[in-house]
Amino acid sequence: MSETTKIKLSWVLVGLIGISAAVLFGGWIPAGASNDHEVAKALRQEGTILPLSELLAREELAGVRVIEAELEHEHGRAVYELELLHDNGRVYERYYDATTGEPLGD
Amino acid sequence: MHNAPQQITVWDPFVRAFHWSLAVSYLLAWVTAEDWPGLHEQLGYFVLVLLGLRLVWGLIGTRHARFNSFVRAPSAALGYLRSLAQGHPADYLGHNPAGGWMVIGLITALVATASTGILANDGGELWEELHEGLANISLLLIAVHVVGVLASSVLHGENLIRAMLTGKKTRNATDV
Repeated sequence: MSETTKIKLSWVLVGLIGISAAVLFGGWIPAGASNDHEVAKALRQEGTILPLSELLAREELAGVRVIEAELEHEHGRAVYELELLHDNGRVYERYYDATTGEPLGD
Repeated sequence: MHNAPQQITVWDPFVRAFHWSLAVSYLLAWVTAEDWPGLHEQLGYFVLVLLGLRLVWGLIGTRHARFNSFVRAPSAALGYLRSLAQGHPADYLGHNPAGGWMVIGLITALVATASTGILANDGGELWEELHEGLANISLLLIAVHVVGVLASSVLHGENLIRAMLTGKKTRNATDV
């Protein structure tokens, strides 16, 4: 391989650095936010998403134990993913649009 | 005319992008260590990607990027440092022998720092302490590296920081 070819190849590697950076740091939309909790807080303060507490206060979720609650980004919208333990001992997963609060299918 | 100073490309685009990405990432990782664990972790992965690419490029890259072009016997490094101390440093177009060992030292220290960081992530006080110790060693090496670059820049009369940005060094045509 000639030095000229290698210089060209080195530009490809520069591109790889850029792609890696985009993949690794692309998720940092609210600047300065460091984890899901911070992201959720920032979105909630902006009014972009409903507070989780408002969702959990609903009748349909009354008496249900929440094992895990996650805020995910699916197909461009914010989604609350809840893992619920019902009285009958079974575990369910429920999805809600975090902006409107409407229940989503799987 | 053949003796006129000319600009020679020494550092290829990848070497330069790698160098500054790594420098910024390390500094950011240092700053985010306590309060931004999520970002700190991503920076660690990014540093490993950078180092992985550099190791491959060190085998197949352009002339001055390859390890076999700048890793010399430790005695050569000492000889260079002696010439530096006497104020008449020996001239090398790529990395000088001391700089070459610094490259190896920094790559080793940073691979170890990032790897132990990932291991510490799964829990384990020991990995955590190793990670912090290695991060301190890396910082020390970086400080020596910067002092060495500044000393060489002054004594060679060549701005090596600019050379790492533009990729070019100035030489008389007959030098090469």
